[in-house]
Amino acid sequence: MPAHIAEKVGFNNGFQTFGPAVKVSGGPYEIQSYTKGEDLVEVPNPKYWGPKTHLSKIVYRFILDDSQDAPAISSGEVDIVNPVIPSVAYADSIKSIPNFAASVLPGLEFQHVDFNESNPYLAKLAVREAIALGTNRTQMIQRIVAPIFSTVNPADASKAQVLNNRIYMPIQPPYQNTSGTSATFDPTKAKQLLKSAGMTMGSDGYMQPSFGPLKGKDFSLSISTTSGVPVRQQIEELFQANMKAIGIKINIQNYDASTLFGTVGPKGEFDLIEFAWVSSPFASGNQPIYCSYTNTSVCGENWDHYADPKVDSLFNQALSDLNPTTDASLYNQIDGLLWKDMATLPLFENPVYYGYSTKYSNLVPNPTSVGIPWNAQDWALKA
Amino acid sequence: MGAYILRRLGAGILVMAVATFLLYLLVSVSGNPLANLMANPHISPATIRAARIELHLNEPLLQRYWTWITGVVHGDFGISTTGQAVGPQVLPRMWVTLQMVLPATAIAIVLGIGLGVMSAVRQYSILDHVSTALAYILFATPVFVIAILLKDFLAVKVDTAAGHPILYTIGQNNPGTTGAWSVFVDALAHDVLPVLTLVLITYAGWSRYQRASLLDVQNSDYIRLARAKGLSRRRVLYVHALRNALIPVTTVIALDFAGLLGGALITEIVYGWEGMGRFFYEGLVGPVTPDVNVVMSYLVVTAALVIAFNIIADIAYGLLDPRIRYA
Repeated sequence: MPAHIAEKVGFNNGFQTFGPAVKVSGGPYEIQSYTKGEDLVEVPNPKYWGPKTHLSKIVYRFILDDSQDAPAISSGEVDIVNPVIPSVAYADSIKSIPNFAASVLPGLEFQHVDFNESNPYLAKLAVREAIALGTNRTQMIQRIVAPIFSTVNPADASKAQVLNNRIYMPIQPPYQNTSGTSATFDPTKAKQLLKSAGMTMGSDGYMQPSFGPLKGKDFSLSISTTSGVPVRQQIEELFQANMKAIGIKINIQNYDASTLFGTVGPKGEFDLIEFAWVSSPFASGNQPIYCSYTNTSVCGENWDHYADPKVDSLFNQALSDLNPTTDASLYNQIDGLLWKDMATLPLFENPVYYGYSTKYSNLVPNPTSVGIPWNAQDWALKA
Repeated sequence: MGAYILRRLGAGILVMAVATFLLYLLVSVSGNPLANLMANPHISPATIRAARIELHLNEPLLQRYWTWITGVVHGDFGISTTGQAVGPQVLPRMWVTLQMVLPATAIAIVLGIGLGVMSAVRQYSILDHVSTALAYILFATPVFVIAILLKDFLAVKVDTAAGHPILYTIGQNNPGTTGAWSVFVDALAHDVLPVLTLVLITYAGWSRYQRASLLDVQNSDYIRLARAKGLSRRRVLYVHALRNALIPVTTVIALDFAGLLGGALITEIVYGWEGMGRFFYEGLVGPVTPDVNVVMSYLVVTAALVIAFNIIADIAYGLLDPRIRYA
């Protein structure tokens, strides 16, 4: 941030709100005004060194409710939309609007299920592996994610794919499928693993452990996620059905986001928990999630009681490594170990939805955190 | 009359004091302001401790109330959890909300009283029946349903027919508009749908009250005497009957004003206006739940408006009803 401005407005708080004092831009557009929670207006930067922009004003409107988008687009008030959580209903409402295109791309955010290893049953690797083998992730994607892709273009349904790496997403070059055979759907093998862990199939179709607090009773686990999110609800229901087929009873126990991420998660008050992480180009951000939970100062985001000293040492190596190629190979090794330990089960990437008017040229959707304005200097009204 | 107004103002201040105290207590204990902070896995316990101190959550509740009320009395509504002062935001946002509420109230009063009188005068005619049915339907329909219907069937149809936006569905203005006339026309274009929404849900109840009240008055003795004296129907209606029939409706309108502000809250959210209602909503669901200073600013303004409107209603009685003279 420019030092001469920081001196005037104060480094700590001066950049928290937009005002004339903090108006700087090195790019083709500059911010003209910002009304918190309402809109942000960009106009061409007169001091820009590069080619002139084609638009005289870009207004970013923060619309609270996705259902307000469709009428606003139809009445011509809005030209580009990017909902936070697209749904089939939303995509359908946009589809029929003339002169308006839509695109769905896999994004950098992914859903996953975590195992709490302080639960005496989930502490056993065989049980975790069994759960992973019993989860039909392909079915989840076909039911939940593919329909969003196909509302835009039925041929795109194949773009929705199973995620086999926690650190890299398929759109990132270092992505490798590090899962080996740990996550191919195989309910028969799953049941065998449960039996090898000391469970026997009961007459009601559920496994019964021969040890621990549920000895002689149905083997049950609870799964928790944020309440009121349809996608997560669907994931839990499919998961519950998958687990029933291998003899595990799943209780769905959801909480509002503040409780889930405020107490339930950090305090480890769950058996299984489902939520999303956002990936970034900086893989080192993953360390606090997967390094040993005993290291409370660094590994604050490891809520799963998971620890593997090999993973810790690989992270330390990767963090001090400045070469991107060896770096990537180290992170993929870490992910391979996370699969062998079955620390967490990645499910799928969240789709990123863009709707944009065809009256403008050069609107190119971008699923990273930069978003569609990445090439705003090339946007122009078609003649 | 002057002494009466002063007495009412004094009572109003007392009510405000009690109301703000109770509201502050309720808002402060209704939720954990740090919940969303704790929800973010990237925030360390040290940061949460610092936030707790910054939000004065380590102080006892009564002390927090005292700090807040002494600030408000001096015009300082405190700081929101995003670090911005609440006070300077109240007036501009109130202005935005009033751009929707005042025209809506005025139009609803005229429409409600007008239709109520017409219905009463032509009781059981077709006009009366149609007006009654419409009133009941609109009265029963929730605000957001009307808002969405207007968006889809009025704004979108008009705008697609015209090829460019005439009626706007989002926001109270187009930011970056320059020139006083352009700004005015732009605000008007954005105003139409929300005002229409509020008018439709409000006028219906008032027209029913007006109709009932006028029918009641029309059958009273002094009206019969006026007719017997030979006064024209028009004079009897507008000079004698209406004046008295307006009294109950005035009560309803004054009390309903608080409800109108509530309806404006939902209308602001549906149409994306940056008014007090949305400010309140964001204070409740925003990053900190609840943002006490933001929520209390809305409640204080609303309480003050409700009390003020009740005083205005009482003064209006004095003007309308010759039997009432305040001592």
